[in-house]
Amino acid sequence: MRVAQHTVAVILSEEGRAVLQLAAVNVPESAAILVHVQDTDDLGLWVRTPREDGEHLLLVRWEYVLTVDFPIGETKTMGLKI
Amino acid sequence: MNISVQGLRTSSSDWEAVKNIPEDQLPPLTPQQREVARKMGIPEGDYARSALAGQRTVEKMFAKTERFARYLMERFGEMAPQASVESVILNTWDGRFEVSVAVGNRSVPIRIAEEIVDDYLDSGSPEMGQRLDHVLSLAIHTQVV
Repeated sequence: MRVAQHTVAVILSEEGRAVLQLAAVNVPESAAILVHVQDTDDLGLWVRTPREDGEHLLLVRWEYVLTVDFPIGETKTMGLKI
Repeated sequence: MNISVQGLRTSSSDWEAVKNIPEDQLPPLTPQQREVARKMGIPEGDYARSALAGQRTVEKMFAKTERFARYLMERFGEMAPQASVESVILNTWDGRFEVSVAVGNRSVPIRIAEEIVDDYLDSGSPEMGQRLDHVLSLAIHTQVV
């Protein structure tokens, strides 16, 4: 499963939420946090995070990720005349 | 011929492009989307931006699939005139194009990594074209002969 290049709702452990707060990320009170995943690797999700000087990439380590949710999307088909 | 895109993806550039769109200019959420956003505690504006970015990316993936389908028609016309392309599906989960080619009474499935196609369509380099041709030729000849 490829999560990179998806906008996902991620639910983090309490520790994960605390880490984001330590990193001065605005963490909403709701359980789910909507993030855009730039890439993933063995360490975790690399998510785009807005900062005062522009977007940063932030690593959310896998051990803090309880679940990831995103819509599958519909299969769209169209006929093509060539 | 049918072309399809399975799944959803949001490119970083599309995400970047929608993030500052004012809420009143975003397409309205469906009642179902609004319910999901509410249940998950995600602001409706953010959910709508995410949906819009995904929609824009899907349109680009469709355009890429169509471009690749046209390329396939052209290449098979030269490499294997007896073959005709029935469908081209971009499977975003596996990062592969799934192509169905009719050869006589048979339907031959061909799977091609999206990365190979991207490399060729982005660069247009003859080397990448040869690599792609090799994959197509191998698929047709090993499954038909």
